[in-house]
Parts: sequence; structure tokens; C-alpha cells
Amino acid sequence: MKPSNATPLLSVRNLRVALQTSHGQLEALRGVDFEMQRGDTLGLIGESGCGKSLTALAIMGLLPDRAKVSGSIALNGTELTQMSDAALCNLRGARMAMIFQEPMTALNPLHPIWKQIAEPLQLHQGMDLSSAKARALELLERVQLPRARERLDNYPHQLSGGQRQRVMISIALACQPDILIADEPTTALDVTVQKEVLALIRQLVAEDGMGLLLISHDLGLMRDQVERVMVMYGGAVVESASTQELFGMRAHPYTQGLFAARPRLGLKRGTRLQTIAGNVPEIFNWPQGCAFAERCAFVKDSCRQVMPQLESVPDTAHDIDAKDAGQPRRVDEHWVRCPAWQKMEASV
Amino acid sequence: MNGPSEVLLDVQHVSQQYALPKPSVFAKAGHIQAVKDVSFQLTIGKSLGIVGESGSGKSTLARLVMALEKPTQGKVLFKGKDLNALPQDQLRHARSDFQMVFQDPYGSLDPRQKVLRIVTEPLHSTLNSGSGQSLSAQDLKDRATQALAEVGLRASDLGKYPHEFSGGQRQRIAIARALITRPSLIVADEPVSALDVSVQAQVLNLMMDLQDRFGLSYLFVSHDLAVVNLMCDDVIVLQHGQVVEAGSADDIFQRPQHSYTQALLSAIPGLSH
Repeated sequence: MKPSNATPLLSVRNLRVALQTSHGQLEALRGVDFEMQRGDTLGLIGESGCGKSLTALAIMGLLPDRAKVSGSIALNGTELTQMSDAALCNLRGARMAMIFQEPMTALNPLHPIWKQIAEPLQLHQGMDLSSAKARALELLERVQLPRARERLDNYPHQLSGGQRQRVMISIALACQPDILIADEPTTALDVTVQKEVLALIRQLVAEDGMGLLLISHDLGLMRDQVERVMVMYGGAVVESASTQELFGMRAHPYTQGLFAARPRLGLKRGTRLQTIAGNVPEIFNWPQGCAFAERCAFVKDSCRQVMPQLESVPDTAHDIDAKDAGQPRRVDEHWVRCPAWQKMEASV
Repeated sequence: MNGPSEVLLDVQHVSQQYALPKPSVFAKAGHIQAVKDVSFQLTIGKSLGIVGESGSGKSTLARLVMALEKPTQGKVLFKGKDLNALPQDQLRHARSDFQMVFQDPYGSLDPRQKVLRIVTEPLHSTLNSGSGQSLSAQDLKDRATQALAEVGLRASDLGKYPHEFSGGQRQRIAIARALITRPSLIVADEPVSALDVSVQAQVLNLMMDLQDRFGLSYLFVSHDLAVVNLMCDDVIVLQHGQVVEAGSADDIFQRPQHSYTQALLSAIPGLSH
């Protein structure tokens, strides 16, 4: 992230979410911090239950009432956590928008697609129906929906999965938001369609210069789509780095395990994959400290008791590059929430 | 190449058509061709991958091999016997030799049954009724304990319900259920695509270990080419119900010939670096 004195587009500080459950009150997000400027692309990666979708929903103000949010979420300097529902409604779809995983359930099956694209335009920009319909057509053309004019009156069930996701994107972009949150936008799609939809999102985000917060469990996808990645585990960010650095060097034992466990094309038939022992812990079994402690080869007693601090990981290759270019060293590049990362690096 | 004795599964020119609902009472019902003239052979102890996108006929082909559906044309020969020509009771008995593992470890285990009952289900349905031979409660328990041990679960898990397990553990239970009859063939339909990456690796390793130990064959249905590359000796690529390319996994993934296979490979994210 570039050091900047300007108000960040999105600033998330010590974000915590506690859920009221049958197991009592559980902290599902345990202090998430990050900042984005316009044009930044940030990826959230992690396994199911790690809190990545919860982070997105907290930013959008879409958490259920039983969820207690603490910490700060500021969009263009405006604090969102204390905002009334009505005020949030004015922002959602206008200044921030979200694309969900399953376009069939996110779209209303009872309305033709043009009406669903027109809705945010009428609501936020006060457009009348006919100009909203004309704008809907432009948007559908922009997301490259084939034969857009004929499809304006189509219902979601008449479209394929990829086409529906294009419609979802056109709804999200209708009011030219400052930030787009995409939660597993292509997980339900076939690979060839996924490739097209991701290319479209990348192109539109670059054209409009908005911020993109992309959520995925797919490391390869992150590599193509975002400049910076945060790895989440057990409700906390365990590592954060530029995508390039992370693909070069992983500091957290979980991130290392995650990268090693992926089957990759070209592995010899029958090669055993490296595994991370154990299972992703259920939220009510999270320890006080690091949620990865039970599966970690480098665990110390203190890891279980207190959440480890974020430590900065100097990246030698990058420092040399920066020196050559005559730039000051960027200190906020690579962070890891693990006290043992230096020892580990030596042992790898 | 291979003698006929080594062929475990011989799928010959199978096609499967489904009738579409009639648009009106007087209209003729349309048909959809889910699988069209597909042939392949699977050798004992080897694995064959079926890849393709949704709607390409992968799962229909798996159901045809499992004799859950009768093909409209063609034959499925398992150990030389035409499964669809077998009388019901013999088919039921034959089923103990080929078992299936499904994609969704949440949907494929009966939430109201304990693990003991779930894992021994194939014994009840194939052995007890098919051959007249019956197993005592203690036999069932011993067989279930052994099957669980093979997939890395404990005997104490027999008395638990599916909801007490994580997704990866549930898929192990599903594999134990498939293993309990000591089958020669396991048809696995997207067995790891619902699992997290760190758990997926454990289940894939387990499936490879079991293959080495028991000489199993896998018919492995997946959309994930890297997983198929790892697990399979041979691959067929399906598009619109037809085989567009078939060959050894090395050939298909290193030197894809068909444009569709090339498109599938180039669409894998993260490879263009």
C-alpha cells in the first residue's frame, strides 16, 4: 500500500464481531485491520469459517442483529459502525456494492433483469423508469452480456450462471460505487466462464478506479486478480503481504501449509500432498490465543494463551529493488501474526 | 495393450437421453442427449479421470457406471458382465464390488443414523439380501471398526451422528462406507470439491494410500484438472456429452490436442505467471 496522507477510501480498525449463539457469545472476528485507497485491489483468503465473508458483511452493514460489531469501519472518512440503517441504505449500492457467490439466489426470480438493474438507479440517483431502463441497457452492454437489448426483459432463470453473474456485476456498478466487494464471485461458475468474469471485473475496476475487496479460497485466482493479499484464519488476519511477495515467501506456518497442500498441475501421479494436520477448529473451540495453535508444528504455550502480535517481515529482494530505484524502504509491506516465523524460515 | 482379464470396467458406446417436459399436452416431448456414444476401459488397479464443465455429462456417466440408470444405448461391462442385463438380485449382489463416494459430505450421510449404521449400510443392502448370508451384530461392528480405522477414524466414532464431524471427517466416513464391502472399483464424483484446501489434501492422500493398499480402481469425476492430474493414470475429456479427447493424464495435461482441453487448461487461474 502506498503511504498517503489522504483520507483512505476504506479504513478498517480493530474490527471485532461477536455472535450470540447457543454456545454463548463467541467472537467470530478478532481484530481485523486494513486500509484501502481508490484503485487498490485487496484479496481476503482463507478457509470456510475463517471470517472472510463476515468481514465483508460487516463493512456492508449486513450482519444480523444478533451480531455485535466493535472497532471502526470508515468509508471516505465517514464512520459506518454507528450509522443508522437508513443512512447505511443510502450508501449501500451507491458508494459501496457487493457481488455474491450464487447469482441465482442473489437475483430476484420474479423481476426481469432490467428492473433489478434500474432499482439502485431509481433509489440512489432518482432516475425515472425510462431513463433507468436506458441506463440498464448501457450497463448490460458494458458487462458484455451478449444480445443485451433482447435480454432486458429476461428473467434470471432464462440466463446461464455466467450471464447472471454479469447481471449482478452491472447492478453493483450501476451507481459507480467507490468500493466493490466480491465474495467468491466465480466459485459457482465453470473455469472457462470464471476466466471471462474475472477478466471483466478486473477491467471494470481498473476503468472506474474503484477499490476491489475480493474474497476467495483460491490462491491461483488471487495471484491473477489482486495486488495485495490478507490471509485469514480463525477470525484473525495471520499474514498480509503484496501478492508478489507472498508467492515468493510465506512467513506464517498456516500460509505455508496452505500453499503446500494445493494440488498443482504437473505433479507426478500419486505424489502425496503436504498436509496440515488436524481440522479447521469450530468457532466454539477457538483458543484464547492463535486459532492455528493446535495444528502448528512451531506452537509454544504462549501462542495458546494470547493472540500473537503482528510482526513485520523485511523482504530483502524488495529492499534491494527499492534501493536501486532510489525509493525509501516501505515498512508496511509484509506482516505476520506469528512469533516463530524467523525460526521457521531458518528451518525451511 | 492390456489383456482382457485386466479390464475391470468396459464402457461400450453408451448414450443416455432424458425426456424433457412437454411444452403442451399436444406437443411432442423433446429429448436431451446427456451422454453420446462414450466408450472407455478401466484397468484393474488404475484410475480414470472424467473431466468437463457442468452439464458435460460427467455425473450421468458416473450414474451409468454405477448402474443407477440404464443407458438408452450401449453397454456397461463390469468384470465382463453386462450390469444392465443382470437380474435384480444378482445386480444387488454385484454392487458390493463397486461403490460410490459423492461430492457433498453433508448431503450424502443420513443425519438421523449413527456412523455404525451408515458405514455398514452396504453390507445390509448387498450381502444380507443378495446372497442370503447374514452378519451378526458383532461382525458388523468389527467390520465397521476396521473400515473406520482404514480411513483414520476411531472405533469410538461409531456411536456418533454425522453432525458431530467436520466436512473432511464426513468424507472419510463416506469413504469407509464405500470400502466396507472391499470393492474393486470406487466411483468418486467430485469427492473433494466441497472441502477446504488443507483438508482436501488429507483426503486425496488417503484415497491414494487406499489404492496402493487394496489395489482399488477409481473412476474419478472432477472439474479440477490439477486433482485429476494427481490422481489418475488416464483421462477422458467430456464436452456436451461427448468425449473430445482421451489418453494418458500426462499426454492430456502436457500436450492437449483438442481446443476445448486447451481452453480448460488455460482457464486455470494463477498459471500465467
